Amino acid sequence: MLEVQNLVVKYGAVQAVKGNSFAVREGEIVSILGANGAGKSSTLFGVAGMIDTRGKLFSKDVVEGKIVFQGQDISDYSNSKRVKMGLILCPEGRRNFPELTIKENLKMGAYCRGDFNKKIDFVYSLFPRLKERQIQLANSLSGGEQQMLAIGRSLMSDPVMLMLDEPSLGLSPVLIDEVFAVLVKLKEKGIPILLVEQNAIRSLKISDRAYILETGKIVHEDKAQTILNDEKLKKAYLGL
Amino acid sequence: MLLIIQGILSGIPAGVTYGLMGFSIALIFRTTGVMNFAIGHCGMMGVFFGWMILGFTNSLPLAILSGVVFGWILGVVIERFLMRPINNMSHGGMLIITLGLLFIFTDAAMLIWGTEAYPFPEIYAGAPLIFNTSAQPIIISANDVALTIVGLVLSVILALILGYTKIGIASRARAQDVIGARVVGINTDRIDMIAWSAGIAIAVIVGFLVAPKESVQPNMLLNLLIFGLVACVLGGFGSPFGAIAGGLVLGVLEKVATVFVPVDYRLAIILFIVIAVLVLKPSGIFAKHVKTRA
Amino acid sequence: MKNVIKAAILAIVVGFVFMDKPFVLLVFSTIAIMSIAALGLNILSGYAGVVSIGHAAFMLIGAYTSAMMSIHLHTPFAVNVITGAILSAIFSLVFGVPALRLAGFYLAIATLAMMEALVQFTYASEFLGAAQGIKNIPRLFQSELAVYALNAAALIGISYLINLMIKSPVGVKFKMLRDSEMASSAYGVNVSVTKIQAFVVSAVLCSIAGSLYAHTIGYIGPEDFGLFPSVMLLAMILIGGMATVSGGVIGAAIITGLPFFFSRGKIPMSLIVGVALIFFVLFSPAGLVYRISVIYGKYLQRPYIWLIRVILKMLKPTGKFVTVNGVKMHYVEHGEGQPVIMIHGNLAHHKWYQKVWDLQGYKTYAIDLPNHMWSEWTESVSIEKYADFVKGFMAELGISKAIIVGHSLGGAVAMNLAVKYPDAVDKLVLLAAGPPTGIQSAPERYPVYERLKTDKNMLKMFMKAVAPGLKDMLLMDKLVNYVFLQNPMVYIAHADEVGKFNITNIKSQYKNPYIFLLGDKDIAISKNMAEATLAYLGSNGKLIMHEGIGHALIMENPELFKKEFYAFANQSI
Repeated sequence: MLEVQNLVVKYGAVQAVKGNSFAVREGEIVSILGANGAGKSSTLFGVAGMIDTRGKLFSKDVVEGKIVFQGQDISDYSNSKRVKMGLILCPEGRRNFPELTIKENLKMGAYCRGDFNKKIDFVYSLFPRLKERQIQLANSLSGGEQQMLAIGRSLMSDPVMLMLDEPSLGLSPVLIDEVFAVLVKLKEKGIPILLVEQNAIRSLKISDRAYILETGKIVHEDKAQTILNDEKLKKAYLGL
Repeated sequence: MLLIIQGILSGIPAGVTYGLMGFSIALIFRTTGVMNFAIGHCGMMGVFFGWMILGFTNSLPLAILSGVVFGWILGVVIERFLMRPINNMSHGGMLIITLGLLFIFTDAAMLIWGTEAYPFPEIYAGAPLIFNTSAQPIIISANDVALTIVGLVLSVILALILGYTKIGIASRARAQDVIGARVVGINTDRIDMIAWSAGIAIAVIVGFLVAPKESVQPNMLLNLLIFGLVACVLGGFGSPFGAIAGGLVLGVLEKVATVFVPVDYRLAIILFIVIAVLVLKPSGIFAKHVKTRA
Repeated sequence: MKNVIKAAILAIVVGFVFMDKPFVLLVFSTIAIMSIAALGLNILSGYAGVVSIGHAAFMLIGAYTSAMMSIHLHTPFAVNVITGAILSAIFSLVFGVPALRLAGFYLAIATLAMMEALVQFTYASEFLGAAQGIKNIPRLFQSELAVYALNAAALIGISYLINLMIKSPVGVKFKMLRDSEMASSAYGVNVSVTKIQAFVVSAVLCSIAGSLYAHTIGYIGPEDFGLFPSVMLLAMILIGGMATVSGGVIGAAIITGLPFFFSRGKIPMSLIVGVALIFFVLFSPAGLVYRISVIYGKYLQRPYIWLIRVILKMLKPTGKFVTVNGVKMHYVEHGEGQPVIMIHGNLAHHKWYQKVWDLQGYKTYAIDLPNHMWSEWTESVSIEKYADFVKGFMAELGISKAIIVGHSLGGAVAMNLAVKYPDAVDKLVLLAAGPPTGIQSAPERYPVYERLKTDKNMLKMFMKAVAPGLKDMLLMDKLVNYVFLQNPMVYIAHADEVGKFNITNIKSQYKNPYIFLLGDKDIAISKNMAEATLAYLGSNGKLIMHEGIGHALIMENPELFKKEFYAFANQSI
C-alpha cells in the first residue's frame, strides 16, 4: 500500500528524520513509537507532502526519499495530489478551523476527495455528537469533541489510507477508548492506518506491526505483539 | 441636525470606498499574513490600464472589465514571483518589500502614462437627488448613489463568495489554520494567489469608483490606502467585513466631523482617534474578543 | 576617536575641493542632514528592531519648531534645536509609551497614522503656512561653506556620541531586543522601557536633522516630511546597512546624492529606490557596508596577505631546525639549565613565548609545531600527532625529561604528551589549555575560520578578543603577520580536530605535579572546562585563576607568568 524508502526531513540545519524506510501493507495498523522529538510527526509530514518548498526562495526545509503509494511514486506530488489519491493525514493538535462551523469543517474534509453527502452520514453515525452541534463553531467544542471532528474531517476525505498523529493526546480515558474503538472499526472496513502515538501500550495493542524511532532514525521494527511481550525491548526503547 | 443627516448621507459613498479598500487589505492580510502597503498603487495600475482601454474603445464597461482583469493578473504575478519565494520572511522585510512596490508602481505609472492627472467619467452621470426640507435641501449626487449601490452589491457578492462557495470557505480555512488546510488537500499557494488577485481586483474597482473625484494619476489611491488601513484598524484586520463596517464608520465620521470641528483639521483628528483605537483595541472596535497582536 | 579624525579630514577635504561650488556643498549638506535622520531611524529599526514608517514626522517637528522660533522669536539656532528636540522627545513619549506595545504591522500602521496626522495638521494650520509651507527661514551663515561645515560637524559629533551609546550597556540592550524580545526579557532587560529609550533617541536625532534642514534649505512644507521621505529614511538605512553608524551615511549619500546624477536621465529616483529596497531585503539584508566589508575581507586583502607572506619568507628563521619523523621542525632556545619545552596554540607560533622564554636556571625550547611558521607542513593534523612530534623532538635533542608548557591547543598537546609519555614530563604547565573532551565549533563558525585565511582585520579582531590585555598593537600586528605563514589547511582542520578531540578514553597515568593557569576574562576556556581537565589529570595539580587576564597570559602579563612558573618549577618534589 505505502512504501517509503530513505525518507529524510530537514528543517534548516536540524535533521528531524534521518533516512528511514518503512511500509504499511493492506489492512494493517502500523505504529510509529518513540519519545518526544524523535521525528514521528515529521515522518508523517514528509509522507503527507506537508512540507512544500517549491518556489520558496529562502526555505531551508528539505524532504528527500522515495514514497510509493498504491504502486505509484508520489515523492514529487503536492499535498493536494496526495489527498486526491486518498492518503490522508489527521494531524497532531487537531488543526480544525476554529471559526468555521462543524459542518463547514467537515465540508472542507471533502475539499479534494470524497462525496460530502455520502460521507457525512457515516461520520455522523460514528460521532453522533458532531451531528447535534453541526451549526456551531468548531472552537465551541470540548477537547474530545475537537478530536472527533478532526478524525471525522479526515474520514470525509474517504481515505484509502489514514495517518493519525497523536489522536489520544489530552483526552480522558473514556474518550481514548472511544477513539481506539473507531480506529479498530476503520481497520475492519479495510482502511490501513499508520499511527503515531505517545501511548505506546494502547497503540501496540491494536497494531499489527510497529517501528521504533530514536532521534530521527528507525532503531527497531517488529510485530506489535512481540514488542508488547518483550520486557527488554520495552525498557530499552519505550521506557516502560 | 440636517447638517448631520447630510453628513451621514454624503459620508456613506465615501465610506463604501474606504471599506472596500480596507476589505482588500484585510483579505490579503488575513489570508497570507502580508500587510500590503502597495495595494493603492496596485489598484492605480489597473485603473490606468482601464483608462488606456477607454481611450481606445470609448467603452466604459470594457475599460472597467479590462482594468479589473489587469489587476487580477498583477496579483498573480506579485504572488507567484515575489511573495511566494519569500513567504517565510519577517514582518519588517515584507513591509519594506511592499513599500518598495509602492515606489516602483508610482514611477512605473509616471514613466508609462506621465505625471498628468487625467479625468475619468462617472459611472452614472445623472442629475443629483435633492430632498427639500424646511430649512435646507439635502443634496446627493447621482454618481454617489450609483457608487454606493455598486459598492454594496460588490460587498454582498464577496460575502456570498466567502461565506458559501467552496473556494471561499477554503480561503477562510487557510486563514484560520494552515496545517489544517494542507491536510485536507487545500493548495494553500493557490488560495494565496487568489487572495492577492481578488484583493488587487477590488482595489482596481475602488480606483474606478473614485477616479472621477481623484482623477487618474499615479498617487490617486494614496489617500485611500491610508483610509483603507484606518478602516481596517477600526474594523479589525482579522475580518474583511469588519473593514467594510469600519470604512462606513470612517466615511460618516469624516463628513459629520466637519459639523463640529474645523474642516481642515478633521483628518488630523480622525487619525489621532485611530491611533487611540489601535492602541486600546488592536483587534478593532467591532471584534468580539481581542486577538493577539502580531 | 580615530574614525572621528578620519571623517573630519574627509569632510574638510570635500569642503575645500568644492569651496567655490555652493550647489555641490548644498548637496553635501543635505546628505549630512539626512544621514543624521537615518542614524536616528537606525537606532530604532537597525539596533532595536522596531520598524517605523513615519519617522519624517519628527523631522517635521524639529523643522517647524526651528523655523517658527527663528522667524517669530528671533531666538538663536542652538535654542531652536534644543526646543525642537525637547518637543520631539515629549511627542515621542506621548505616542511611544502606548503605541510601542504594538508589534509588527500594527506598530508600522500606528507610526504611519502618527506621521500622516502631523502632516495633515500642518496642512490645515494657517499659522504654520498650511500647504504653502514656511519660506525665508533665516540662514545661519551667508557662506555655503560655513553651512556645510556646521552640518558636517553636527553629523560627525552625533555619530561619535551614538557610537559611544551603542557600545554602552544601553546599546547592548537595544541589540538584545532586536535579536529576541523574549530572550532579552529573560536576561532582565525591561523590554518596553528599552524600546521607548530607542524611540526617544531616534526622535530627537530626526528632530535635530529637521532643524538643520529648515535652516539650511530655508524653505519647508508639509510634503517634505510625509510618507515618501519616511520611506526614504527606511531605504537609506536598509541600503547602507542596518545597525551600523556608517550605514546611514552611505544610504543617505546614495539616495540623496543620486538624484543629482540622474536628474538628466529619464529614470525617476523612486523607481530606483523601490527596486533597491526589494533587492536589498531579498539579497543583502545587512546592507552595503556589510557587503563592502565582506568583499574587502574576502578578496581585497589577498594581495596584501600574499605580500606579507613573501616578505616574511625572505626573512631568515632565527632558530635551529631538527628533523622529526621526516618533518623539519623549527625551534629557538634560550638560557641554560633544566629543559623547558614551550608549545604554542592555534593561530600562533613560537614567538608567542618571546616575553617569557628567558627563565633563570632553565633552558627553554620554544618550538613551531608542524604546519606553523618555519616548520614544515604535514598532510593531516591531529593533537595526538602533534604530541608525538614533541616527543620526537625531545628524543632528537636527547632530552629525556622536561618541563612542558602548553598554551591553548598546545595545552591539549602537552596534556596528551603527559598522558601518553608520563615519564617524559617532569612537570606540566597548562596555560588556558583545551579540555580533555575537546571543544565543538558551531557550524556557523566555520565560514569565519575560512575568512581568517584572507582577512587580516578579522584575524586581528580575533586576537584582540582572545588577548584583551595585550596593548602593544605593533607586537600584535607582528604576531598576526606570522600566522599567515602557516599551512592554510589548518584554519579549518584545527577547528575540526579540537571538536573531535577526546582523550578521556585513555586513563591518565600522569603522576607528576602540574598547574593550570587561567584568566577570568578568557573567552575560549571557561572555569568549568579547566575543572574538567583537573578532574581528568588527577589530584596532583591545581587551578590558579588570574583576575583581569584573557586567553593569553604569556602576552598579557609575562611577569605574572614567570612568577607562577618559578613558584611551581623551583619547588622540589
